[in-house]
Amino acid sequence: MTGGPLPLWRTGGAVFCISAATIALEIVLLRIFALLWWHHFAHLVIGTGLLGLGASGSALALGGRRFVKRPAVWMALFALAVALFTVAAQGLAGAIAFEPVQLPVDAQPAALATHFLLVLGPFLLAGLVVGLALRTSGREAPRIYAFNLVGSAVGAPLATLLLWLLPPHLLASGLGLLGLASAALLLAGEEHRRARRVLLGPGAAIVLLAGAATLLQPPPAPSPYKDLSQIMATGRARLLASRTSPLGRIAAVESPLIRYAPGRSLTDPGTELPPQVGLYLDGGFLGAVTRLEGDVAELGHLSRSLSSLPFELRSGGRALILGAGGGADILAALSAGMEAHAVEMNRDVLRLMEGPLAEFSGGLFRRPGVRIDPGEARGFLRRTEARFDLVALPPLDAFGTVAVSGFAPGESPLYTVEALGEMLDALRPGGVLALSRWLRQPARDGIRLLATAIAALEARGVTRPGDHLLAARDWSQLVIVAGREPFNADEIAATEAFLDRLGFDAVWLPGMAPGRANQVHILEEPVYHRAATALLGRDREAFLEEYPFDVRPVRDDRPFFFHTLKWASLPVLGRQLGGSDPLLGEWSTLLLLWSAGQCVLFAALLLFLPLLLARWRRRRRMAREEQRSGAASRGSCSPIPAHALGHFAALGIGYMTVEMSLLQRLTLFLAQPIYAATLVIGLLLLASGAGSLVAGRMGRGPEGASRALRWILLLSFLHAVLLPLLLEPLRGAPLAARALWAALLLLPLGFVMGIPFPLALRALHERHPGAIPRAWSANGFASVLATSVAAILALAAGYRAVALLGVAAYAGAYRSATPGNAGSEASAQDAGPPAC
Amino acid sequence: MRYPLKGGDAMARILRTLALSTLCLSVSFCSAGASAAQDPRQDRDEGLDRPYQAARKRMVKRQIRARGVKDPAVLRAMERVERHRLVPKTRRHSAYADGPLPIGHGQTISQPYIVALMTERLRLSPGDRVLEVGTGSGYQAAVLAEIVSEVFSIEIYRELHERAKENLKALGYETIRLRHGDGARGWKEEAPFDAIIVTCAASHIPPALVEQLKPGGRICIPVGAPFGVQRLLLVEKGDGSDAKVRTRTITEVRFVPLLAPRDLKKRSRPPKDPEEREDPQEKKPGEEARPASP
Repeated sequence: MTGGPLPLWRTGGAVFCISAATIALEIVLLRIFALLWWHHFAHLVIGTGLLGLGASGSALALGGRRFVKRPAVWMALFALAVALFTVAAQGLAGAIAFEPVQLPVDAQPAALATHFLLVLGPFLLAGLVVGLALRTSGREAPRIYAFNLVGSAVGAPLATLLLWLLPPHLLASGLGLLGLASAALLLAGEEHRRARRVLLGPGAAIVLLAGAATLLQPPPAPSPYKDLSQIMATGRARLLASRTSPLGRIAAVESPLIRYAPGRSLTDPGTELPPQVGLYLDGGFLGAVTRLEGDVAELGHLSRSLSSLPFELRSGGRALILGAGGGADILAALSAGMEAHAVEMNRDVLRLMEGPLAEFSGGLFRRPGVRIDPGEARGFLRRTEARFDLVALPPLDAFGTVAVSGFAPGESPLYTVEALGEMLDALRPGGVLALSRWLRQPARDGIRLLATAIAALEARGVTRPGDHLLAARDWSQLVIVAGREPFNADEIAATEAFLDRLGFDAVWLPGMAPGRANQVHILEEPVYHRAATALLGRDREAFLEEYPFDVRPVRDDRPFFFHTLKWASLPVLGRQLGGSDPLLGEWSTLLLLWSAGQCVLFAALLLFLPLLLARWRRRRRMAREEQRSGAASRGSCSPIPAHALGHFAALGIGYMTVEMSLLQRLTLFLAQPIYAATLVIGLLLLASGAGSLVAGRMGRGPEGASRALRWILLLSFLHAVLLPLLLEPLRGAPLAARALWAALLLLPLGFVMGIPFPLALRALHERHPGAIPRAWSANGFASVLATSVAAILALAAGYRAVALLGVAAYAGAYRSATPGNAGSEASAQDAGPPAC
Repeated sequence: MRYPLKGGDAMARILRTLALSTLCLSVSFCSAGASAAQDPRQDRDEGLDRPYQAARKRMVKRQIRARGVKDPAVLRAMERVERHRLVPKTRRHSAYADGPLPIGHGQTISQPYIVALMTERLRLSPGDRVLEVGTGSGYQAAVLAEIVSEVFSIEIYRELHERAKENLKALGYETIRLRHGDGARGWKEEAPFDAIIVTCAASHIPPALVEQLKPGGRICIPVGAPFGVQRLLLVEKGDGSDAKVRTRTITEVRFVPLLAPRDLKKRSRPPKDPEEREDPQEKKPGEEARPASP
């Protein structure tokens, strides 16, 4: 017997292994591609790969009864192929050069297609294993689905944990073992002895050989456009140390060519900078560590740079540095006679500074007067009771790095009105907040930071923010100093003297004459000063409305500081640029649209086109039969009801959008991005797995699904509207308490969200078993599309809108599942015999 | 049950497609190999340069002059330098396209318009001494050598330095002085310079370069993504009574704040320079030229 039902533990175990491998592979590939290229290109490639999950449904429909006759053998074959792809694909991908940076001038279709297929492969095959298991499991579908969810719930934290221990390319090879385990489970029975001998033995040997060959190869080389590749290619750089974690690979490089001093005055005499070591995160320049041999006062260049302006105003006392990095701002604080308390989220940076770089940096992080707090800045701000004379938020990226990589539509939780408000709260009376950003042309980031700072001051009850602000710039950087109290005449005079002495331009000083702006570092228009004047005057709303970029203050619900594109301005800017870069370097927005577009295209080609073809063929056959018999006949198969497809698609959209909005809000709450993502994804999937198991015991009628969907609607709506309020009381609590509270809020919703899909699957199995692959496909495509659409919606309208989209999608699913409605399962009973 | 595509048919089609793709790839590889095997000097002798000459003229007309570069010396230089001989051979077909091209080590040969704009902004005279930091392909050095008497160029990547040396020699630019080394230190032995071009952006303007610049001299630095929008940074060293060092940023995209996008369209090319208004010859009807920089 080869086609009979397998014991649940074997199918379920195989699905568990494959699901764990799939989600782990997704996380690991994201790391690998972020190392090779840049993280937003990595997201695009993975988004493409995930289309494989949707395509698997279409492939199952295409394979039809062939797969259903011998499901265990086919699933084992697919699982082996997943293993092979997993171990070999990255080696092959590394061998075929692909340069995303060159895309504007060189489409590289062959390399792009190869990478696309190599990433698509494992997800398609994994989708085939799970889809076939669901297709053939009959009434056990809810339990199989539970195995799928629990496997994913385990895979995500497993990959995150292992990324602390292993480099991603080794981990990817290791994940192939889960594919092998899956195949072994499927062929474990006595009835599959022959298949085991023919398939499993040679298959495992091939996978292991491919794995060994991949491991023997050097790891894939990062793009030559990455800063680390470029410095190493000079032949005058030496890798001192490197560390890998889920946050990325950090490398310390020594080279006489590293001279990092942004904001250095042009009046600074031509003295050599002290030797520096460059820090690189995923190959991109992060910052420099300056050699310190004796007294900090010997580093004279520190006091001759624009970033020393805040220290000119507040010397002595205590400074809080939000982002220790290589210690540049700690040095500036020390040289101003301040104690420095620095927060650093990347523990690998701290380990490097306290380990291999301790001697070079003069033991900076352990000096008297220096205190380092590992953790995320906003989490620290919420829980600290300490108050500071100066809070400094340096640019979180190094100068010039974003120029190559383009801006990701990533979130920047530190550049929001709420975040700056928390920084202002951490100041002592008389304290100042120092902010800085690199200048981009056309001007947008700097203006937006100014607008956000003004909004933060106003949110703290300041009525005349112009009196609380000083701003200055050179050609590369804008520095804003915001005081809790208004600046007095002495402080304004000291600032003017500092700017005149070192040749920097005033952007805003209380009572400043317009003619003072734009004198040394001349822009075509005094755009920053004009913007400051408009933002601090009565023209603010008109300015924000009319400015060609979105420079409105950024808030936590829509924390995309770097997303400044206004679509309405694009045609004009595009014409001005003659098509050379109409998105002004904000490629990631384009990539997001691309991702959504290709998903729609794939869904159209692989889901709807085959459906239309099948319908057309069925009609032709029926017409022939009518001609033959002379009477109307019902065909042997019917199409999947459209509303059923819609139901599965709505469930996919609902699940992904609710998950994404929860992920964003709880990441901010937990203040530990990696742990937060692991906790949210893991717990949500685990709870859904439990819900799916319970669904297996529920009655056959549609009432169960309707009841579950009503609960989902209620809970997801409450989450969309009330979650920020529910999280607020515990924002300053210890991490364990916050994690527990997050789990308590997550679990009920996750549980009910796991119920409708398996119930719908079971219902479909009873009426249209052949339609399950299409339903699986619709759910897969909708899930992938939902991630892109949710990201675009978040950019445009914020995460509350994403959460509400989730509610709307579940409302659609409820409508199609409720008896009496046009699209309900009840009416699906009349849809006819099994689908094609 | 019938399937949309039978297994055998599908396999045959896939194999056919694969075979065709392989054939196409082989042909393109062979032609690339053949092109790589050709000697650039041989091309010249055999008069194979004619299509490139036409492309170069088109480039100057459509990409450079139309965007407002007017200095006759710069236009002449751009028309003379054989850019296609300085790009990698596999990229020759797009040597005169309106964009940068990769040249290896993550470096690029700049967009022709940027090269012309930078050169124009330096306001060069025939007797000037110019330093270039970042030789790259050697194209910018060649353009400079068409205008001034002495060009000095430094490159940090040895392979690029060697390649540029060989190519520039083959093109007859014997007077350009090339050096392999760290450009941020300048070329002290040959200082001072009338102008300096830095083709690689740095976090700060190296003080050594400002020191090695003559009073009244200029440094030109492009800032931005290699394949994206670039802005030019001009560093001007004052002379006489005003010895201050100033920078001037020239953006490719410009707009006037407090104007709505609809107004932007009207003012996308503000007629600041009177000479600009008097030279509409290259502007086609309906064509919107890019804004010129002050």
